[in-house]
Amino acid sequence: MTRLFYLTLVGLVLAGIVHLMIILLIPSYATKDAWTRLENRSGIWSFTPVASPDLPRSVLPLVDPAFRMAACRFDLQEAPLRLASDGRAPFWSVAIFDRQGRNIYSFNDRTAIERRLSALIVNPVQMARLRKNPPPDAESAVLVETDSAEGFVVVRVLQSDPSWSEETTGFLNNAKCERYVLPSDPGDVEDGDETSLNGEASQTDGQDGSGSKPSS
Amino acid sequence: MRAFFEALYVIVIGLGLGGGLSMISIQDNHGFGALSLGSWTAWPLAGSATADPYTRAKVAANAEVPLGAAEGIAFHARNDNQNRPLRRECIYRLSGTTPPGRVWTLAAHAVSGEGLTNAIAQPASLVSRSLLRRDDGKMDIVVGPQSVSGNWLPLSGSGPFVLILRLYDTQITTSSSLLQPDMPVVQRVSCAS
Repeated sequence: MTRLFYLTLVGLVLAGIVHLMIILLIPSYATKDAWTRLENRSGIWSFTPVASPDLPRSVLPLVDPAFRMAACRFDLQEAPLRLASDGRAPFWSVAIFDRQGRNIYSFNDRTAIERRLSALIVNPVQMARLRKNPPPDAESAVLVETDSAEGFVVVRVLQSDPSWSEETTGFLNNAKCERYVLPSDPGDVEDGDETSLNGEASQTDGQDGSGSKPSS
Repeated sequence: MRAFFEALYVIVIGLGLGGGLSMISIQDNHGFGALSLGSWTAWPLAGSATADPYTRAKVAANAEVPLGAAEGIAFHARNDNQNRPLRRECIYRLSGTTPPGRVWTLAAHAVSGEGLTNAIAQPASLVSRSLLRRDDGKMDIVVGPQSVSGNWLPLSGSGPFVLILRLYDTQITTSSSLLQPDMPVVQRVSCAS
């Protein structure tokens, strides 16, 4: 009887270890996480619609049906990410997640400069380069520094009723999620929509800065 | 032979209990890091870098994109004020006030996370800006399958559902939790069956 008690105790300790391992490893090994679902929808550096008040189903679960949403994946090892949109909307917000779905940073239209969507997401090395040689267009941008290389951005725009549909669609259609070329790079290209450029297959092509864009 | 069965016993307990416990704890309604107000529960740290491991596991396993601290906070209700599970065949009345915020929305979701749709197959939701309010500034919302005048959030299908009230640009997430926010009361009015 003491032996059974002892064995049960060992079993319980093992259960505790298994449980902790599973919980800690899920974020790294989840095969149906947000990143993977977005990966199935579109290439990296390109916005894909996630939810819309007109569509019955959203790509990601538990999202607000009153919002139009788009998401875009990025990889800071390739280049800093520049987010921008010219659109105006009564309420919008942006959340930046790392590869495992952990929220790195978030802001909304009131916390943004001039209520415009303009942000630069950089890693510490890129931040140091930005500080050394601050480009003028970075002044009005929200600067976010992160250690994570890969991640994704979710932009939410409130559509309180269908009459706002044009503004919210315009806001997201205008939204850019592109590689930002740091100013000290040779052959600067600052804007230009590189979103449709080659998927993640060619990771080195994006930063050559030669401005060669395949017409899609 | 005895040693084999003993080892088997230990492994079955370890894997079964450990795995089962993990499955349960990444379902939606776990209590880690939760803020409960009446029927409503929120996970204020879900959208932050300091989220606890359970919340992170839940977010990753369900592919959720939680609201960040500067975006807002989502309150989930699975039960009414008498702790009965919410059912789509029933009619509920929400009354009272919400914590301060720029805008809030109310939506009904299936337990799996999909939004419930209205008659023309669009996701149904209510937005605070277009609500009718009582003279005292409070609001009344009817949640149920049949349309009513006033503020109505449609339900469709049958089975359990989750009500989610999302507050955007609110101080709850950005200041300390000193203030006790008021949340609307979820009362069951009647049930079809």
